[in-house]
Amino acid sequence: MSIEIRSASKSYHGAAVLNNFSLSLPSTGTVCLFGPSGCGKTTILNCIAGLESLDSGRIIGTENLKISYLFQEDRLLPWNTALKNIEAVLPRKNSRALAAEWLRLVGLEAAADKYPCQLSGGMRRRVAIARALAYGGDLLLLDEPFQRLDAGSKDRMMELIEKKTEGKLKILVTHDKKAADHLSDIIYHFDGKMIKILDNINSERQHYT
Amino acid sequence: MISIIKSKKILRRFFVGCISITFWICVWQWAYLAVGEEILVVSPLEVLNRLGVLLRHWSFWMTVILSMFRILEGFLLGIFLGTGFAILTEVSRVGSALLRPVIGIMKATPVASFIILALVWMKSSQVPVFASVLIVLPILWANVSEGIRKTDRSLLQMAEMYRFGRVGTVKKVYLPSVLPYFTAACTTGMGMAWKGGVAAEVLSSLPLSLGGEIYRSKIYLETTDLFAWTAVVILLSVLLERAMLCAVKAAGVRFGFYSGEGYDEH
Repeated sequence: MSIEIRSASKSYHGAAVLNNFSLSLPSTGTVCLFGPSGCGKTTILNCIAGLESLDSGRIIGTENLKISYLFQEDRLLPWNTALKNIEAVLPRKNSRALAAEWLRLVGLEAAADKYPCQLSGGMRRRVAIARALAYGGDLLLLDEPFQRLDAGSKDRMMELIEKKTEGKLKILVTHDKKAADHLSDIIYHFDGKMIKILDNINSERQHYT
Repeated sequence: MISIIKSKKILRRFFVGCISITFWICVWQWAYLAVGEEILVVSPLEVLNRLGVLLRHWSFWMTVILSMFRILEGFLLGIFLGTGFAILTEVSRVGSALLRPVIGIMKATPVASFIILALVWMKSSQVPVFASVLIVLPILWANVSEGIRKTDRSLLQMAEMYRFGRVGTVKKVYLPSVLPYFTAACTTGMGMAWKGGVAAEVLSSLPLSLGGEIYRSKIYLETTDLFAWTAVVILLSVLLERAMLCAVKAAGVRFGFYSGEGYDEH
């Protein structure tokens, strides 16, 4: 499975966000899109996920792909407990036990029966991470995955994502240099028009540290 | 700890309610003394005595039960049709184009016009049901439509991404989102159904009906009876509204549409 974005263009109310943008993604590993706010990183993820359509151009290789999307906002169901939010994306068989296990993995077993509004921002983020990982997509889209997490939680979540998604393609959008450096095999600097490879596996990693 | 705070809140609300009711009964008693004409205002005690007498007659219970069934039938039909129309107008452009003018007319037409027309068209026992339907339907339609429109788009995208499917999206996202709007519409609708239904009973002077009794009290200038029957209507409306809210809440909790607890922000 490899994904290719060809001559993609997208604008909102006349303002171009993507302008004839092309990119080839590998079949495995973590690709990081790094760039300033509002440059269109989330738009790319939404287009890959099929939630938004391009004005022109194509995205090839995402057809019939099971995609786990960790949105920038947690997007938890406010009327469901943490446990039920994870259960919602799991197949019915053993969903409760599986959801409980995922909560344990993100360190929230005690918060299983709490509603999103009863959780802190960091806890809600961990539930969202658990849900995205539990869904088990072939492709994982991570939009600012570690926002609102304290340093310790961030390290544990990075480790968990690496461990549970081995051999899968992950596209990471972040402002967090540490997370980008730690998780990514390839880092692209992105400003909507031009992409520049700033880093790749085992090379110039000190550039970001 | 939370249950103690809750119990205290319930007790406080109960006492505030009692004080408020006592205050207005005192105002009523004062109005009775100030006017001094029993044909215009009767005392609360006389109304209570009259209610005591009425309660002992089988015809009172028949009147209450029959009126309640008529109005509940209209209310439930209004809920069913109003919700159905709301779904139709939100999912189909054709449905929206066809139904919007009809619902607009329903909203704007005076209830009395409908009732008098219905008296021409149908049996008088059906008129209160018809009036209640026509009053409840636009309320449900407007609120449920609003609920569907205001469903969080980001949650719908999430549901699409995690392949909830149509049934799953309706059950897990739409229904819980629409529930508060539906509950509010039912609360308003219940009160309005009683008003419209009893008005229809008055205009059709239906035997064994609350409206019919109110009409007869007016004809024979029996103000005590008029007050007593009106008190029965108010009491029934409030009790049924409470029962309906409990049922909707229980269903919501049972099907996981909401927690049944207030959401405390962290």
